Amino acid sequence: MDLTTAQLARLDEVSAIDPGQPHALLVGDHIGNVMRGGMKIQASR
Amino acid sequence: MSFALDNYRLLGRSGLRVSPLALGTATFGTETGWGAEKDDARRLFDRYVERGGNFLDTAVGYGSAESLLGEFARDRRESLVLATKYSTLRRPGDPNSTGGSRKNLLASVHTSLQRLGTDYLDLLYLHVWDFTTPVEEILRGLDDLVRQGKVLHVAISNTPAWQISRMQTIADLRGWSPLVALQLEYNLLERTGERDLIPMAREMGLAVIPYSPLAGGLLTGKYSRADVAGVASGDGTRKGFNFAALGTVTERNLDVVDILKEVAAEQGCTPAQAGLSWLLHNPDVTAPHYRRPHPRTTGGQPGCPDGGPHHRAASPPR
Repeated sequence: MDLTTAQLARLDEVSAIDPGQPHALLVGDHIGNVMRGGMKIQASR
Repeated sequence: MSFALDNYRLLGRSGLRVSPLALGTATFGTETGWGAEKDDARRLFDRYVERGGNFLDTAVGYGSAESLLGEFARDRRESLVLATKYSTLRRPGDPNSTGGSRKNLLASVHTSLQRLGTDYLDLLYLHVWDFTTPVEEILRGLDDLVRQGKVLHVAISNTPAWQISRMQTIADLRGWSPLVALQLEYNLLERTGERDLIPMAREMGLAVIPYSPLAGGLLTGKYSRADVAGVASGDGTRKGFNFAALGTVTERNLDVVDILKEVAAEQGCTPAQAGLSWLLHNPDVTAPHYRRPHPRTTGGQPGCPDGGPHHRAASPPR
């Protein structure tokens, strides 16, 4: 038995949590613009 | 995703090799009114070890569990990884018999060593944060036990992420034994550890050891919307505990269980197996607990490769 990527995605989606502060802010579009201005910069892990 | 018990993993930044499922022993012993009789506990232990399982989890606060585990482990102690925990109250009325302090640490570890019938612990967790003891006292006490050979590795559970982060930093800067594992409740219904605790564990070299991987049995799919009405608290059953005391049987959680049941049906496995598999797919997770189901619940999970799901049965904290 092994879950498929699609099955894992369904489970992830239905059980998702609100990440709260500061995590929601940090992944938002506004901070993306303020920090990177459209550049693509790989995050560490 | 293999979670065969003899497919060993490293425990955090340590060199210790552990099974990908830890056997929880909080339900060994019957003092709580809902644990396993000795013979049942022995059978569960034997089945786990025969399949290559080596990671046994207990605590000084789990009643007679340490003594039973020590008895079962006696003839193969060296090949087992015995993990126990300290910091929960050992003597009502004695303020120095609880918490993270050096005094309680030493006395608690001596008690555990005696009950387990061994002269060393492979892993010692601080069980519950006490909001009292200075972190240097905890870390230095743990390191002293490592230097004395009474404890091989140290770990932590049920503690705020920011405390663990600064503790690990202090341990590293002073050359004290680092924390190598973190226990927290983590499952499809309790994912808030993803905010800080789990990324912290990844960054700082702590293995994530989820307890209650099946959310106290909810992820076995045994409760439905029809159960939501008419259950009283304190009726002495796990169902009453989940519904009323923990408040975990909610519409939101039942939505998650519905999807889990669908996925399990597609796979031809049980919801419990699918829920454990979801956890084990997370590269940050080292070894969820599993434990015998309570006899008053629906029983074992047929076809589960490891003999059954975890089932949280005593009162928190685990």
